[in-house]
Amino acid sequence: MSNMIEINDLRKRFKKTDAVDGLSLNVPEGSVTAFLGPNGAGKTTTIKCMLNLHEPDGGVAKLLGTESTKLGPKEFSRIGYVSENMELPEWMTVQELLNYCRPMYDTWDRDFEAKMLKDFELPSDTKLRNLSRGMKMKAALLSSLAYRPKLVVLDEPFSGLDPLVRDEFIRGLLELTEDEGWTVFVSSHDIEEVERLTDRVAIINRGRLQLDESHDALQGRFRKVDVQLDENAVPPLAKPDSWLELKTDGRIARFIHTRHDNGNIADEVKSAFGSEAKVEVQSMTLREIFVALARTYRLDNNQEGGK
Amino acid sequence: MELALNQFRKDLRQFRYFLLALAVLLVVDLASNQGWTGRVDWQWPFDSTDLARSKFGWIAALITLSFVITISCFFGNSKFRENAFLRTRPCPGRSIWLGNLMFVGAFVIVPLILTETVNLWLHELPLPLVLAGTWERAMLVIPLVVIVGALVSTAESNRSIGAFVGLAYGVGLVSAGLIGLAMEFLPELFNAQRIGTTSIRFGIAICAALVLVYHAWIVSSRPRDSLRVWMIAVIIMVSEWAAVLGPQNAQLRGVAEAEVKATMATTEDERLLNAFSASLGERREDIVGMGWNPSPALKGMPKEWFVRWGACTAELKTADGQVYQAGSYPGTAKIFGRFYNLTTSEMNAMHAQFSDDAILEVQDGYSDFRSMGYRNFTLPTDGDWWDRPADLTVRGQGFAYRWELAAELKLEQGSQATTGLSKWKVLGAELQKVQNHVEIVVEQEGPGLALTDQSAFMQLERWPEHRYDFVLYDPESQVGCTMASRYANSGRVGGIPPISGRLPSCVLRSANCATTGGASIRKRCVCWCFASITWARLRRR
Repeated sequence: MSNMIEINDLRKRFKKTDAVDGLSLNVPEGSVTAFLGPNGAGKTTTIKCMLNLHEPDGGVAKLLGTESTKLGPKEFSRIGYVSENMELPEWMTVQELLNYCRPMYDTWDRDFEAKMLKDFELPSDTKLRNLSRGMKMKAALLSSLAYRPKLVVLDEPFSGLDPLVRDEFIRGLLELTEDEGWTVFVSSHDIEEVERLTDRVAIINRGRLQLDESHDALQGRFRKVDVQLDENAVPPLAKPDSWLELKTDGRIARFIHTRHDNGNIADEVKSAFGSEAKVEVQSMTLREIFVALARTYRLDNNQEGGK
Repeated sequence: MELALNQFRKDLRQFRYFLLALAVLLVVDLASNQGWTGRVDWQWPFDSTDLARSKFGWIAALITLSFVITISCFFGNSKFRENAFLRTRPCPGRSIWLGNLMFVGAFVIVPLILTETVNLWLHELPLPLVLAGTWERAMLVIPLVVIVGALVSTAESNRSIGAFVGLAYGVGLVSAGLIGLAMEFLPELFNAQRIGTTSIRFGIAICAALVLVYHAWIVSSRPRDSLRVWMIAVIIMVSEWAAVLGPQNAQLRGVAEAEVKATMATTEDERLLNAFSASLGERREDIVGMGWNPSPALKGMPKEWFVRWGACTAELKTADGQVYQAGSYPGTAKIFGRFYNLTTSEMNAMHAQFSDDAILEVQDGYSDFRSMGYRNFTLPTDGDWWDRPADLTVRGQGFAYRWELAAELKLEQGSQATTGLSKWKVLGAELQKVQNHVEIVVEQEGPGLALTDQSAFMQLERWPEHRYDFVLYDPESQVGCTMASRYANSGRVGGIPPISGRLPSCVLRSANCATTGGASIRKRCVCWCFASITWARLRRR
């Protein structure tokens, strides 16, 4: 399986801020990858560098095997891109938008366009400026999918949408993705938005990639651990690297274990606290994993900022 | 091409209401130039505040709307903005640009040019003039639109525009001077009468070149951008130089020059040139006053001729070798502006058209002190300069003019005459008993192409040069009066934006005229329209 997106040591700096700092990431063909991170993590900058909207200061990003700085009409005819920041020609009606875009693509599928128009319940004679935000995003999505692109890049497509619209949007996208076998790369600051949609997760923080795994692998790794300590237990001076958010309250300790697939929790607890303990392990949802990681990154950022 | 047409169709749909407004403004503009609408009905008696009514707001709206459409079209479709809709669409930049250019060309540039052509044609002007006016308008509109389009659709629009404005300001200041120098060394390439146009275009060309160099070398790091920008620079410079050196009014220039040659050859040439040359080397005894105005000092000049000076320098040299630079006038032989004064030599030249016994008075007195460039020739007043013999040497060029009677108007309301492109009509003439003077208002109606006072292009002048002056003359008493200064319609052929085809041409008030003839003066008096249309170019290094 070839990679539709290959990013290697990508760097982009704005004045004194490293927006993207040595990011490397591969997105295999046919995968649906969530590109997650807190606000300001560098998601949008990465995507803009990928699509040649920004010129990278270092490193390489390749889409469909072509370097981002060399992307041209040929490549863009196989890429669908929708962003929350994209300027739409709002004076156009939905139909005018489609009429305008159609001649640009040899592969434009009018039947597919009609199907999506119906499925998205878009009013074709309404001007974009008179549509709700959700409907505008649907119109943008339709204009970016009707030519059956090989790669779909979505930058915060659900931002600002109410839950009902978001669910509709995701459902529509999910169906299409499954039917068409597209490679989708979707960025979001909240995993809840894309949890159902994706089968891979890449998390970025401060311009650096923190993890890049499939759902299954991620859920196999993370566990919520409750520990009941005995009287002789001593709070550890330093917790293992694989533990996150360690909290102790009397004889109860709680933490999140990030390497459950690769270790014995009971032994680690005994080693850390110096005594036997009763360990209770619970699996975690993707959202819980993401929140834990996001919280940890924020703490790390604050600490680094404090320095 | 299909994508360019797709872009063209989209632009047409997007800006259809703007185009409708533009069409309305162009029609209003044309109608006003033809006198179908928007005429200023000059009142009798004439009130000078009526002049303000000749400034119409639609000209500003027309220019603004043209630029709004151009900028919106190119900037709105630019692929260089990172959030632009087309940025990630498979539409090549050249197709977008071509589509935009086709749209702006078809619906902004061509209408602006054709309106001028139709306007000139409806004025029943000769074909060479219609073509010259069309050419001139095209050379003004096309480069401006291309520059604006190019600047707002490049990667660094903001910086490019900022650089353009800054450089335009700086270059604008020096371009007239550069033209003056170029005229000095390559006079045959330049037509002094259209030097206003030349200096502006020269400025635009230099400015465009500098901006684009700046853009290509400093701002833009993209080779493709640089190449595109350089191509535009070449187009602009070629078109501007074509406008400066091209066939603009060539036929008319040929006619005028032939006329001058004939005049010089058959009648005046030796006398005129000798007088001019001799006067340029006069000793300082001929200098009058602390300032020096060369015009009245031309000894031997035939009295029916008067001289207007162009670019020249003056040097005062004493016998013991001391040199005083009396100053230089780097002007561009600009002959007439909108406001001008009747100088002594002009007055004398006009008097030559009457019998020697005739008395010609100037209303409100006259003053040479307001003559253009006069103050640049101030001579020293301190020390012993005036006690030593000295030679004044002037190098430069001038134009000798002669008045000709162009039309005669009877002093009665509605009386009309035609001179060249202008029609003259007496709006009113009556004896003002209380104030004891005769008052006349003459309206000029020409190819209404005058510009607003605020326009940078106000100084554009027509070819060949015409200046009209009026003399209210009583043949019985042989007394005439004329105005010392007047406001002239700077009507010309070809140019934007036309504002009004009619202005009151003169208001004469003369106590003498009224008292010498009493109430019967209106029947006897005529209004003679003199035109300074025969001229000769004088040059000395």
